[in-house]
Amino acid sequence: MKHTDDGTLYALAAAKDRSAFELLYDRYEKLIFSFAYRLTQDREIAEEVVQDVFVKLWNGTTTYKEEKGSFSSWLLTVTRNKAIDEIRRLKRHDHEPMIEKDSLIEQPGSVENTVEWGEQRNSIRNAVLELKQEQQEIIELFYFKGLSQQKIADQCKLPLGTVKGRIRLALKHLKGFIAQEGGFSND
Amino acid sequence: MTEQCVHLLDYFNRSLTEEELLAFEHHLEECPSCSAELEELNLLTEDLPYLADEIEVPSTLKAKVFAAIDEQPASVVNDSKPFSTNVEEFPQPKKVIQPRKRKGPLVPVLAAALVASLMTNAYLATMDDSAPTEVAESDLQLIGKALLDPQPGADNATAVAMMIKDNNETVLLVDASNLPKLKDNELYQVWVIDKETPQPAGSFKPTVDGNGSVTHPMDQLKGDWDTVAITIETEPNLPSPKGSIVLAGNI
Ligand SMILES: [Zn+2]
Repeated sequence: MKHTDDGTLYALAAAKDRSAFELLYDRYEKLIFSFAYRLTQDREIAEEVVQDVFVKLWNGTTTYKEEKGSFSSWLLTVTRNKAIDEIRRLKRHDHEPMIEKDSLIEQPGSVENTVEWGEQRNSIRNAVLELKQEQQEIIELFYFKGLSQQKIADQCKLPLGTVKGRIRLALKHLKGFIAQEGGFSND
Repeated sequence: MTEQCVHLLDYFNRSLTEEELLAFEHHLEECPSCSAELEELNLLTEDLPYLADEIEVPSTLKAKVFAAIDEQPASVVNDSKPFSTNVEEFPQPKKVIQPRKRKGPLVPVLAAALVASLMTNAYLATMDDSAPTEVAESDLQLIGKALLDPQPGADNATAVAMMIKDNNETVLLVDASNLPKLKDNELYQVWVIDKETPQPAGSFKPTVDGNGSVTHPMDQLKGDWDTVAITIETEPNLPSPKGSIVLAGNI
């Protein structure tokens, strides 16, 4: 997903250039939808998330700044924020903890592998597999489920004060394994 | 470490109450360790979205999104009002444009300055290809612009062509990214085309990242051209292209 020209397209789109906006939309629709689905596990909500993200991008409610990192990282963060707000609003995680089912890596074979970010995914996936089970789980609960610190403590049976340390350690290990996997980095 | 610092994860995961959120945002401004940790969290999690499996996008989604956009109330920049009353509301501060991460001084300064000042300019919001557009805060005018379409073999390439008037001089600025790699003796040549007749409009060597831009004085371009194209050539400014077309579009 290397697109050095995102910044230019974004600037044009922010100035209401519709064709630039459409190019950006086409470029990111699939990634944003797939990520929103990964977070919400619900196609309809994922669609709403995509719509919200792009409408706010178009009308300037959310604005990208270079200090925030790459455009793609920023867009994905905006997507995650909206998705976990939606999850929380619908209180889905209250009645579906499903730790067993929601492993960090989804069941293989469910979706074809012919993807734009397939390579990145494979290296991250391999890196994830090197993590201990409880590290995979805490990343899932923290990043993908967006649970509060207290809920993570409850589900992982950890003292509240140790949650942050555990998460950071798991994420750092993961980053290290990703680097070993052949250095995917996204801008 | 203050009482507030414990809220960092819940801030990241948006589970703070509104009151807590305001307090924490305030705290974040004055707590270097929280802002450093937040930055670290962002960095450590930036690869995670790519764990998502590719999901078939519903075929109706794009239409829905664009319908929603069309339903939006008219843009904050309104033709009937003078620009000055709107500039404050426009959500694009000047800084936004610098997302052009270019390594080294490869973009001509003029081009970079023009792009920056044009693209950040709120008034472009009213831009309409049929009408010259006034640009506030400078005498720059954007007379026309086009996104060039990649041709087969250069599928990821993107380029913008803009005709820009600065006081008395008008230039054609072409700015391209994700260009295919060139051999040592090759360069990229910009052309403007009037029906069948091409004329060269500047050439450039791309950066290692495949970026490049060039400006060309408009008064050197003759005729009623309406197409801009970029080709790969071995010599600059030939009378007509010999190499293959990488990008092209109508302006
Ligand atoms: Zn703090």
